[in-house]
Formats: sequence, structure tokens, C-alpha cells
Amino acid sequence: MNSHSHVVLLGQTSREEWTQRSNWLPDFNQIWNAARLNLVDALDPYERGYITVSMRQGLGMIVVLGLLAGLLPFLANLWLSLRVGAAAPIAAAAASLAEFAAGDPSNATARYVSANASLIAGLEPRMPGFLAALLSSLGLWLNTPLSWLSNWIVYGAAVAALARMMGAHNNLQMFFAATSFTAVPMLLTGLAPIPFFGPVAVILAWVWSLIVYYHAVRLATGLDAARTLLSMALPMVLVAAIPTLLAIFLALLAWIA
Amino acid sequence: MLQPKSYPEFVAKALMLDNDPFEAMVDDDNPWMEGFVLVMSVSVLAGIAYAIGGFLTALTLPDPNLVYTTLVQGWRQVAATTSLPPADVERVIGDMWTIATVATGYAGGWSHLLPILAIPGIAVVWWVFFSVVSFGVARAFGGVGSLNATFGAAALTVAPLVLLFVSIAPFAGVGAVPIMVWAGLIGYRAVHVAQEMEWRGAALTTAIVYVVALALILLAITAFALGYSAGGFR
Repeated sequence: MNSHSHVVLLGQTSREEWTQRSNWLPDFNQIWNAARLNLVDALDPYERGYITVSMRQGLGMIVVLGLLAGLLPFLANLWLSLRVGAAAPIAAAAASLAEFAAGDPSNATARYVSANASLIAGLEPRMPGFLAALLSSLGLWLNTPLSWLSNWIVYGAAVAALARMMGAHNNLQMFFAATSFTAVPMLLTGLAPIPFFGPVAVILAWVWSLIVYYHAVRLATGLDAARTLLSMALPMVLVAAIPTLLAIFLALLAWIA
Repeated sequence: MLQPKSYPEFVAKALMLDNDPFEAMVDDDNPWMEGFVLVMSVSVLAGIAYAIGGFLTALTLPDPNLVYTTLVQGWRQVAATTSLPPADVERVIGDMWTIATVATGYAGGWSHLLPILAIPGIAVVWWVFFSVVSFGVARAFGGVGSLNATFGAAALTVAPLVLLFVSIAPFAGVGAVPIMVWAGLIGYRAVHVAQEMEWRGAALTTAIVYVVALALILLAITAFALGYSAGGFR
């Protein structure tokens, strides 16, 4: 077959196409437009009248932005775990429990739990302490894009299903491509380790992301405002309601027993 | 014809819910065998990555016996301030610790290699379960695909296991829920293509498969809890 043919057989896609950056990331202007809530230009930069960004580009953007957002927490984890000479999750847990116990000195249980966490953090890891600190901090860093990908897929699947039931006609790929831009404001969550400003940045990121998500769902599904909000809110309500109902059910069982 | 060279592209495209890999699997001359090899290839690699990650994670932690002793001592201190029965809770902590350390590989020895067997085992069981149940349900809803074609397309539900490759780094990993949901989306596409159904029927078929699986898992958990409370496992 002629190598310049436009017919691509499955399994013979040119390596060039798979490795091109533009196939894995939207361009900077699209990201910037999404941040400014100009979702129309972000999703359809060439004004073709439909969403041209792909799910693959969305996935690439989430991974890159997730890694960027995780950079500062990675450095904070590395610093903390190198000082203790332990794996980052253990060092972080011991530090937060110590802080919690210090805040309530009269709570004996908190004091014991904190003391034991510090004891465990003080135990020698089975590999050199600095290596344990470095590898575990790297692992936690990778968890940022992974958790963003998980939220994107799990929440997106629920919203897409509800939107479909309410009359949306988009396909799943278009939906996920559009909602991937929610990752843009989430970049601010990377500032979380900064005292005082960090928590504010996290709240801002979540509010901003919800607004971007709302615009993306509306554009992708073509639903009106009420149905868009309903399809976004119902999964959250269900997630909150299920554990509550389960707790009530278990309490009822315990009471009967 | 087996085409393992295409698997990376099949998996990547299945994750992006593209039609191409589903059609290629359905049109394969031996979808069942192609599916089996795909499921085994991806899940064994995921199992190896998970096992290496588990081994490295265990090395970043202190000796499990020392951690267990510290945990039990800590519990005894806490028990003195609560009304919980110390001996009973200590036994539960011991049992949970044994299960957790063996399942994660923290116990050392051969337990590190458990994911190399467990992940492909679960993947194959899920693939067969999904294919058979979805085929039956889809047929009831007017699907026209063969069981063989369903086996081929449904094999792509293994694609989200590539996320476990990241588990090679200590403490990095993705939960079971995102993998199951992503596999569900791929499963929906598989039913849609293999059974030539409209979206509503394919979505309902996929949802029913998950409900049946959930019911079976709950049944197994209840049986385990009953057996445990009756004195089993100890």
C-alpha cells in the first residue's frame, strides 16, 4: 500500500499521528478561553459549528494540568518526608495527627493515636530513608492526575447518562472532550500547601470548575439551564444520600436487634 | 488472525470510546481467542506492574511486625479510655492486618506475586461474565450479534487496567470504582457495536450486567460475614 494513502488500516496508524503533541493537548488559546469561561471558542476554535476538541486531547490536558497542580504538593511532601526519613503518607499522617492532638490537649485518645503515628513514622523503612521519601512522594504526585481522571470519568458517566435521559443527543466522546476543560481552574488546587491562601485557592478552584463544567455540559448536550443543573446535581445528591440512607438502615437494624 | 501488535492502539482507542477497535474485534476471524489473548496480555502486564509497585511500597515501609506491634500497643492505650472490649477488637485488628498485608504484598514473601495471578484471574472472570450476561440480556432486548462477537468486543473492557501500570510507583494507584465505570462505558460501546443495538438498549443491557454483578458481590460479602461471625476463617 502506498505510504501516502489517506486510507488508514487499524493497527497501522502512523506513529507520527500518535506522537504529535496536538493530538494529545488542545492549544494554549483553547485552555485560556476555557479559563475565561469562553467555552465556545475553547471547544470549537476554528468556528466549524461543532465541538472539534477530542477526548484524547482532553485526557492529555487533564494529565498535564494534574501533574502541574501536583508539583507544589509534591515538593511539600518531599520536604516533610525527607525530614522524617519515612514514606510520605506516614510522615504526613503523623504530622497532621500531631497537629490535631496539639489543638485539643484534653483529648486522651487523640494524644495516644498521635503518639503511635509518630512512633510508626519513626520506625526505619526497609529501604534507605531518602529513597523511601522520594519514591513515595513521586507516587503521591502521580495520584493527582489519576484522581482527576477518575472524577472526570465517574462523575461524567453519571452526568452524561442523566443528560441523555433528559433529551441530550451528544455522543460520549464529545461529552468527555468538553468536560475535560474543568481541569483548567483545578490548577489552582496546586496552591493548597500555601498557608491561608491555599484553602481559599482550593475553594475558588472548585467553584470555578463547577461553572466551567456547567457551560461545557450545556454546550455538549444542548440542554436548557434547568436540565443541565439537574443532571449535574443529581449524582452529587445521590452520593450524599446513599451513605446517609445506609447509616439509617444500619442504625434501624441495630435498634431492632 | 491474532494481532498483538495492534493491542496498544486497540486499548488506547477503546479508552477514548472510538468505534474502530470494537469493529475490528467483532470482524476478527476468531473474536473469542483474540479477546482472550488481549485480556490476558493487558491484565498480566497490569498485574506485574502492580506486583512491582507493591514490592517497592513494602520496601518504603518499616518491618510489618514492628508496625503491627506498635498498632496493637496503641490500641491497648486507646482501649483504656473507651468501653470497647480490648481482646475482641485486638482479634479483629489481627485478622484485618493479616488480610491487608497479604492482599497488598506488605507481608512479604510470595504475597508480592499475588497480583500477577489475581488481576488476570479477575479480568478473565469479569470478561466471561460480562460477555455471557450481556449477550443474554441484549438478545432479550433485540440484539442480533453472536456470542463470539460479544466475547471479542467485550474483551476491550480490560483497557482501563492500563491505569494500574502507574501503580509501579509506590503509593500511586487508581481505585476500583473508576476502573469499573470506565470499563462500563467501554462495555456499553461493545454491546452497542457487537449487538447492533440502539443506545438505550445497549445502556440498559450494560446496567443490568452491573446490577447482577453487584448482587452477586453483595451475596458473597454477606456469606463471608456470616461465615466469619459463625467462627470461620479463624
